[in-house]
Amino acid sequence: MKFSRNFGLAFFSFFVVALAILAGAAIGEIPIPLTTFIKTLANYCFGAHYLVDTIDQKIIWELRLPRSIIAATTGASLALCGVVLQSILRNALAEPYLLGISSGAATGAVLVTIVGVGGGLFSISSGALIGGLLAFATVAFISYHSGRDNMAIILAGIAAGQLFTALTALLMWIYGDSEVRGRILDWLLGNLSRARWEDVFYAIPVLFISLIGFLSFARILDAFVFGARSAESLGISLKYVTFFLISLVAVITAVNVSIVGTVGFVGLVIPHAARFIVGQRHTRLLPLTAFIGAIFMVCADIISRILIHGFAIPIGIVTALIGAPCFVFLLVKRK
Amino acid sequence: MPILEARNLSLSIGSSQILSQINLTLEKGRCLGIIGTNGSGKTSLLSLLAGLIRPTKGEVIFGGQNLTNYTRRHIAQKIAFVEQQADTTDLIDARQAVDIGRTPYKSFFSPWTDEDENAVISAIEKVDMVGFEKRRWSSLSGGEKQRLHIARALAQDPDILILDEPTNHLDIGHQLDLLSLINSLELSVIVSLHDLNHAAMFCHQLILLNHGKLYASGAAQEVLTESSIRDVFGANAKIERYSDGDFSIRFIKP
Repeated sequence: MKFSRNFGLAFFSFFVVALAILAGAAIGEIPIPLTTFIKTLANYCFGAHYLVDTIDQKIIWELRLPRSIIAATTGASLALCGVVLQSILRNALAEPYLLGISSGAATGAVLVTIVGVGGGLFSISSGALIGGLLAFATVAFISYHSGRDNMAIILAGIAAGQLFTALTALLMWIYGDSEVRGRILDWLLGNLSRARWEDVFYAIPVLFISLIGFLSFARILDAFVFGARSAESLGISLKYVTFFLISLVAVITAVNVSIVGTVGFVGLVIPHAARFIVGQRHTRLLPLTAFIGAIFMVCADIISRILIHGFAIPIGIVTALIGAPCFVFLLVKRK
Repeated sequence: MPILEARNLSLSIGSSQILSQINLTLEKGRCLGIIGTNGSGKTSLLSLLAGLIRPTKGEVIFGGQNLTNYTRRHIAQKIAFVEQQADTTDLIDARQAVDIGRTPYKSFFSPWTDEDENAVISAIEKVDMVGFEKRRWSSLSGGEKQRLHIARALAQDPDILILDEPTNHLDIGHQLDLLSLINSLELSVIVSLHDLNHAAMFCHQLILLNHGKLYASGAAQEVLTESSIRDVFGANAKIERYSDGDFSIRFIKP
């Protein structure tokens, strides 16, 4: 009974996310008729042979659809990481970028694009991925040597974040001309336009592995409700659990940052919104967070492309612009 | 054979000696009270006995073995620890605070069983909180929260219950209720208390700590004397003994 209900809910969520993704692929700066959209899908998915304008077809299949899927996976992944960090660090302001990953990723991206590290062998994405993971290694190192408690992790994240942000600014100042600075700024504010099918093929497995990984820790995350010490007295090996979960969060965040840059708000606020709806039981909270994160991000992406005609606003701006009022609404309604 | 025993337990953090050479035994079904001034090492001692921290020297023996030989999970199935003032701003209900007591029995993906359900229901019954299950945690009083913390500990189905100043911030009625409840549980209990009269009333044995050292141990009448209270707490007191064998401590204005 319970199993079939959960299965039904999961199926329904997938269906809704899929619909949102399709809407994201159908709507865009350049208006393309719905019939063209359906014909394109039929051509690619079912091997149909409808005659469709090749440019329209390419826009839909090679640009919009992967972009929309990446919006969903990024939204879900960042929101999941936010829930996990907030629960184990017992801090409502914890978010995936707290671990210095976005700052490190930016430094990596700048090193690759502006300074030319790697001699063109690395893409901006791989530069960002390596930079993000190195920054996290720095955070892990600092917090290991400064008490290893929640506050140590948070403060180490802040220190490393500031350090890498300053490094990025310094590199841009020395090497960058205004054109490159613009490109980096574009990346820093989050940009889905570089998303391609190759990204989809690793973003989806990363999302599902993280969802299943986090769900397997659901009860352990529940046990953190009265703090780390209380969790420990419930038989949780704090050292291993914290290390494993934070490392998983770091890898997922770094992968997502490398694809879309930094998208604020999702990882910080979606978890709270989900908590307002289902409370703190992680078996429910984690799937709902992933679901809301995905839907929210796909919608934000659609809005970013149609709000100003012929001009896509960076996604990071839109998530905060529409997310903040929605969140305030939930916050007030909760009372 | 004692259920729990501490042998020459010492703890130092950095250069400061928190506890030195503590010996104690807890007999099955008895209540051991730990008293002492603020900063005398009560909480540290309880953490050592609960296996949450490791002693610098000495050992805690449980079931004939050093506590450090057990995994955290195994310890949590045998020893439950109720912290001082554990609170949360998370949106949980009363039932959830008790549910997490089953954590030591759950592994990845293991489902919630009838045994878990029964353990939680019976724990809530024992602390007399039936009907409160759906209440928001933030809407509960201090006494109610403390009862639920004890229910969570009971849901762990432990042999030993360790409580760190469980009566803090409760009014006198609730303090007495809570201590009677703890006494009625038929568990082996270690509890730290501030109120010496309560310690005498509810504990079978007492340990008096002074600056991290064992000052006295034994039955309440032996430990709580006018001179020990003056030496450790710097307070003048008069012990009044009654014909029924009870006694009370009356403090004298300095």
